[in-house]
Amino acid sequence: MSHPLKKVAIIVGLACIVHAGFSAAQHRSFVRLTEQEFSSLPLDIVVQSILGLFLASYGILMVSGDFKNIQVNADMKEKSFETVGNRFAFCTFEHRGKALYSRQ
Amino acid sequence: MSSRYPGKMGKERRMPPIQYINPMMVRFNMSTAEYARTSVSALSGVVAGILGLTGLVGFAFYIFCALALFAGLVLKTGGKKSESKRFFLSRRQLLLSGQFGAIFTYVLFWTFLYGMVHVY
Repeated sequence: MSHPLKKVAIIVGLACIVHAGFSAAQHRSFVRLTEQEFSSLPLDIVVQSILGLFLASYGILMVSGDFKNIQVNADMKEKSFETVGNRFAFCTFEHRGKALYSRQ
Repeated sequence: MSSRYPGKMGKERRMPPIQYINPMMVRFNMSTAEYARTSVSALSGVVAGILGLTGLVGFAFYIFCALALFAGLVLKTGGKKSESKRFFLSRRQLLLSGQFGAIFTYVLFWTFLYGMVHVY
């Protein structure tokens, strides 16, 4: 799954939850105004908020970044011995390459 | 790197190779899991508030969400126990660490959203 789609999952999930929240508040005020007894939320609000929670959690799990290997020699396996000997302090730039490859 | 040591009967037994562990990467993985836990507990608190859960039902919902998050993290490491050993010292750590702070985050959002939706 490509990276933007994960963010889309988070945004859609959050939008679902926010919409369900406003719907629930509206339902509460509707029940209060019509002087009915509040028993429970309508099923669609419940389903929408729980689906939104799952979608957003999935997106968060994907976005939070890959785990890294905790074994010490894991990241040294692909590197050659030359990597160890590469010392920047000993780099020299005063050599023939300056004359050979310089643009006149 | 396999080391040898004498067994009970004087025979040599072969030890499994010693695995050195990078503590910085352990901490990095735990902070990644912590990030997911904080966000998911805040979100599940929001949903619990919207649904209007009260009392023990809310805490049961939190336990359900924490278990679901644990399953998600385990699936993210690859599912198998040997695979999660590559990223974490133990699986139980993934379930139990930071749970105390997460439940406070949950209660904070739960009470806030419950008040916003159902009280006012």
